[in-house]
Amino acid sequence: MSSEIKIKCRNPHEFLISIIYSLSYASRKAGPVLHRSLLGLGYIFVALDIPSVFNMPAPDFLLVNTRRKIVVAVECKGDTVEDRKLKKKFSDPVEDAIKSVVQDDRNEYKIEFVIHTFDIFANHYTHVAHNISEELGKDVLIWTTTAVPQVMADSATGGTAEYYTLRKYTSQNYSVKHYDNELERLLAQGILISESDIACNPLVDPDVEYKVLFYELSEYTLRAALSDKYRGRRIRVVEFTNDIKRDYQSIVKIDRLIGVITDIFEVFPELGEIKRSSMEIVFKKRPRINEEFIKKFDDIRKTIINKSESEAKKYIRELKTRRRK
Amino acid sequence: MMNDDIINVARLGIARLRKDETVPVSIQLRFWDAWRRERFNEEIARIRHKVRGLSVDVVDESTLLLNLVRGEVKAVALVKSVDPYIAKSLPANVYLVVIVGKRDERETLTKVLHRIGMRRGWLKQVFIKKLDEVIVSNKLKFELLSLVYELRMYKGRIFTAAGTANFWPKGVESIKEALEEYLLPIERARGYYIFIKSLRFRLIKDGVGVGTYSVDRWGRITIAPRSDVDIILGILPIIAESILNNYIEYKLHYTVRVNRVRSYTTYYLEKASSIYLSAVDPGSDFFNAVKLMVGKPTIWNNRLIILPVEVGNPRLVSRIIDKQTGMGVTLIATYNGIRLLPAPGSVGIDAEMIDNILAMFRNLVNE
Repeated sequence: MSSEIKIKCRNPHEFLISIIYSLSYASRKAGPVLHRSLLGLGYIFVALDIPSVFNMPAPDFLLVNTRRKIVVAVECKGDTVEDRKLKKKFSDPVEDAIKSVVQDDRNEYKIEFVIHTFDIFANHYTHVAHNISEELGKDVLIWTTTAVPQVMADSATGGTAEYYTLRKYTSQNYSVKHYDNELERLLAQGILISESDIACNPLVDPDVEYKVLFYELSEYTLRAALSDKYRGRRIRVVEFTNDIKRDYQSIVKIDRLIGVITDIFEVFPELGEIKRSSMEIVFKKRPRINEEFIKKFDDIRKTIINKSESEAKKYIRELKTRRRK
Repeated sequence: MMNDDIINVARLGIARLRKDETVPVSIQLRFWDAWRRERFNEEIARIRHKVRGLSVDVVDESTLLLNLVRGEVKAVALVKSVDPYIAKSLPANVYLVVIVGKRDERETLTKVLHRIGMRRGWLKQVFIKKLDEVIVSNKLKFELLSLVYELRMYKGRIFTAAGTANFWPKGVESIKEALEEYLLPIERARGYYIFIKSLRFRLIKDGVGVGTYSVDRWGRITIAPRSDVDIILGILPIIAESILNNYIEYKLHYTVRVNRVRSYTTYYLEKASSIYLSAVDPGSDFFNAVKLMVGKPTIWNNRLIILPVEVGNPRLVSRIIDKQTGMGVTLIATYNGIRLLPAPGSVGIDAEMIDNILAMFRNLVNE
């Protein structure tokens, strides 16, 4: 990681995705949105699993505006890479795949490609975007987020808070406009997002480490085991993983999620068990969540997150063997 | 909310219903769910048989008139629809209810409204405790006559109340002074907190007393006999707006941000995705006290599961999970206060959970 970058999440890539996720993730609860943000303009965060469905590299996520019929495909780059690595993600087959996932049979949607990076790399990506547009014949826009937050007055607390700014990058040599004038105006002005409003979501990264998945999903499973929706119920593992994918807008493969969920139930049988024959999860009717369990739960999660990836997997294997005995 | 509209509805309602200045009047904002409204005819037919002397007149689509006549005693209620700025997005219609009559009859009509599904809104304690400041800003002098309060204590999922008491302060100039000088010592000594149920006060304009009024936690304004109506109607929109915003926050999980520039007022709805609780006494002592509570894995009061994520100085991050519902929030504490955000995978922050978290940090943070 560059020393000039000061971020909140585990790595720059996750941080850049989480910034947009925090500005555009729509929860299941419907309601009016008038707030000036990407969501306010109708752009909804959608992480569709194009790589696994179509077996091709694709941008990290889409911002879909069903009202204005615009899809913004965003590729986040927390470091500098060469243009040849990006070309495939912005190619025509990817555009066709996006059209099919948004079910654009009538060819109504306009698709825009965006590279989202830190402001300090903007100059580098200007050349990359220029090369890609020359070769593929399509415009690529650049969005930047400040690499270091700005300390500003916070009206809510009366003190100060650290803010990051997301804006569209333009220079004398490089100026591409969005189809949507309102989006163009909003991003030209810049969207301020306070450090505390950024929800780091590790599951938006398809290559997230096992230990991070275990850490995050063990807590999700604990919450699920206590909720009215799951407590005492018997549900299919795939249904549970689909809920995870929906709640986190995750593009982590289902097989990986099932593997981690199985490990979690083996390590914490107090929450429920997985019936391997029917691939169902049986949540406990009265999960025994007491002080002792919470201490153990926290201890295991902290141990695993502080280990290296291979050591973490080994540690979980040992725990599982101990439980089986 | 269209301020002039609501004032006009109340003013015309009172002028139409009140024949005699010695009869008290109450004004309140109420919410009527569409599905309950559709069942109005069958509900009212049933109620009419049970409530002696009740007659209901549907004046037009947006107006109802309820009359209660029991011999010499009479009371009348006007129910008139008002259109707030967010009317289209609300799951309920908003009504202003003006009831003229003595206390018992007013209560009977209020019960009828409740039975047909017309629900009242509420005022937050933080608003009630600063009501005098709102009134003073309208160039009026505020004199607190009595304060009805309840001592409450949170115990797990529910709160226990140590009974209602009436407090008649003498020589007290503001609600804050009444609370600090007389009531807070009780609160601190016994581990309860003061929950204000209603306030009765006198208003003075240019050195002349204009009347006696009361405001309760349900946002009901009562105008005592021979009190000036127009003066209190100047404050009605502020109370109505507060009730409406609370309702939006509760029903839609959105908070309302208001921008006022000269005579223009714009409203923004923001997802209630973040709640900030400022420290009563900011500094390292506050931070260390919070750290003691949420800096290690534990279960608070058999209700909130605490899982620390990052314990540093001057920043602490913990995940708090409601043991009853499984809802999760991320708590970020600094020297100045505490911020609550929904944990990934959680839709929003439940009001009851916020209450529990507030109870945990009681005396440390402002409401």
